Amino acid sequence: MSEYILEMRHVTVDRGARKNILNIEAFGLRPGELVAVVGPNGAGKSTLLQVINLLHAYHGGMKLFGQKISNSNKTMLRRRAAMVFQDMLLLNDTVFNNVALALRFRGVKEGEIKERVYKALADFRCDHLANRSALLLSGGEAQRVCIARALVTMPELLLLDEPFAALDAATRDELIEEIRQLAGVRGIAVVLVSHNFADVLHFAERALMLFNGHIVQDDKPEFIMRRPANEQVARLVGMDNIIPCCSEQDSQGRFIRLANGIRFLYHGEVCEPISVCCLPGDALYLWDKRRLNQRETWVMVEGVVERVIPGVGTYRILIKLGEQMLSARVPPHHVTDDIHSYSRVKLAFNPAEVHIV
Amino acid sequence: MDMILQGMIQAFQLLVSGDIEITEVAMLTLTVSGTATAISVLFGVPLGLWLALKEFYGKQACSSLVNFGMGLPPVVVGLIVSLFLWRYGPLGDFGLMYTPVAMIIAQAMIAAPIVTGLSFAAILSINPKLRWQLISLGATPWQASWLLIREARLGLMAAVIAGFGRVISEVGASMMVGGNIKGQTRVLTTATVMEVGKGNYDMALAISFILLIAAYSIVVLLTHLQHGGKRGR
Repeated sequence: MSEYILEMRHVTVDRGARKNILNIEAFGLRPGELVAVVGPNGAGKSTLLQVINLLHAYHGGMKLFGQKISNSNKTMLRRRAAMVFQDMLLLNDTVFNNVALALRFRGVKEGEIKERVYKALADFRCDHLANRSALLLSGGEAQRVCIARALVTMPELLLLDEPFAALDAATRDELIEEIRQLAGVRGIAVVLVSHNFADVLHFAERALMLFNGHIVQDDKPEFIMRRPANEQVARLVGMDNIIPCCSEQDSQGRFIRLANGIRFLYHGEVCEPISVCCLPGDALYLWDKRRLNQRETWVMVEGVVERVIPGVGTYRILIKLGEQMLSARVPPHHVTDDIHSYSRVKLAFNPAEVHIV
Repeated sequence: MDMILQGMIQAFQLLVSGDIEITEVAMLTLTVSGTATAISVLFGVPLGLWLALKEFYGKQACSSLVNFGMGLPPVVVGLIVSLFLWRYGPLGDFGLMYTPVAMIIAQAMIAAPIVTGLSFAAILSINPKLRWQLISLGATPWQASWLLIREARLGLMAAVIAGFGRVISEVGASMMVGGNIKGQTRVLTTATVMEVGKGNYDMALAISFILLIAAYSIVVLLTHLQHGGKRGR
């Protein structure tokens, strides 16, 4: 018995003249695993979900729920999974009938359907909408109903194709948390496609970074956020500072020279050729003498404050350093009256927190 | 103006008096056009659905062919059907020429492209991902297709109305393959043409009004069905 509910090996997808719009070398999903797929527009994220849901033709080997696709009844395999699309794809019918649809496809008896539909609607706090026309729902309500409809069949695998994209931040956070909890309780494996890395950090325990149909990084979201595989990933996860750089080797070791002139000794691993230095905003500290004296390896930089952006938990300070702009995230109580637009500040960072790609 | 008024009065009298000949002609008109529309729906809706959902080489050519068919001149259809049904034609042995069946065949050929083209457009107007959503919810292809048809019912009923409207009003094909034989293949349109030919404009107008009333009644019924199933906004 395989430990994976989904295994993909050398799966490729062509669309007309466009070859390899998806090219997955290897991907496995374990039961109950929460995975996010992140990538720019056109990276193949939705296509990946459609392939997993057997909606799209592909080449290569794939096993779903331990069964080879070529030897199996696709409808029966699909019935063990559920997919929610970005569009609210509800029929012109009542909410109840929309949610009951998946159960009716499976030939469930009407008495049981009623019980299960109300339970699924109650799980997402929309049982009061049961008799309302699906076309009269608000965006948030409609998406809740879509998710309830997907989960009413108790799937083993839930595929979410950016279902929260059109929702406001509060509703999105609420829904993500509800799905996460329900998936945890029922042991449902979830693959979430998202543009928003904050959603990924909130939801997933594993993230796939997809570019041009290829998985370029497959790791824990927090690791990807601090150690992106390349510049594209760094930009996608919202790395605060991506500074062009080059490396210089001398008798003391490897030095990194940033485009803004800063040079520092770097002991971390580097895969040549390098192009940028990734410096998270929370790795830049407002300089104070004690810190610098204690940690001589730290690199000090000085610049002019361009703007202070307030936020909950951290303030963001944009500092102009020659032609470059640095972004630092500091706790609110560190932002004193001395720090305002056009004031000069000194910052420090530990080279160990820098990631070079 | 007097002639139009006279025609309307005569039409009213014919309807009220229950003129047997006119009643038979009107009934045959509705039977022929209704059956032809039903046949065109039987072929046109699945074909429109297939065209809308299936991706294949030459799909655009097929669509243009259907769109071209929507404007097919009835006399050309009448001529082609005549050539097939004529005594020495490929289907001559069936003896269908100058029968209501021949008229139904010709009218179904006229209505089918209209029903197909408008069904195609009706299905296309639905979010293309809806079929995927239904399939991913566990629907079999048949279940998904049936739900799509139900979802596009407003557009599909419009296709039926347009198809019926086209065939009940056509005269060229019915005249060519039916022959306007009294008591056998005479329908309201061919009767109108005949009365005009004879110079009986009052009678021609009266029959036209009856045709309009018949067509309008059916369209009202279809429109009621179209909106009767609509829920919500």
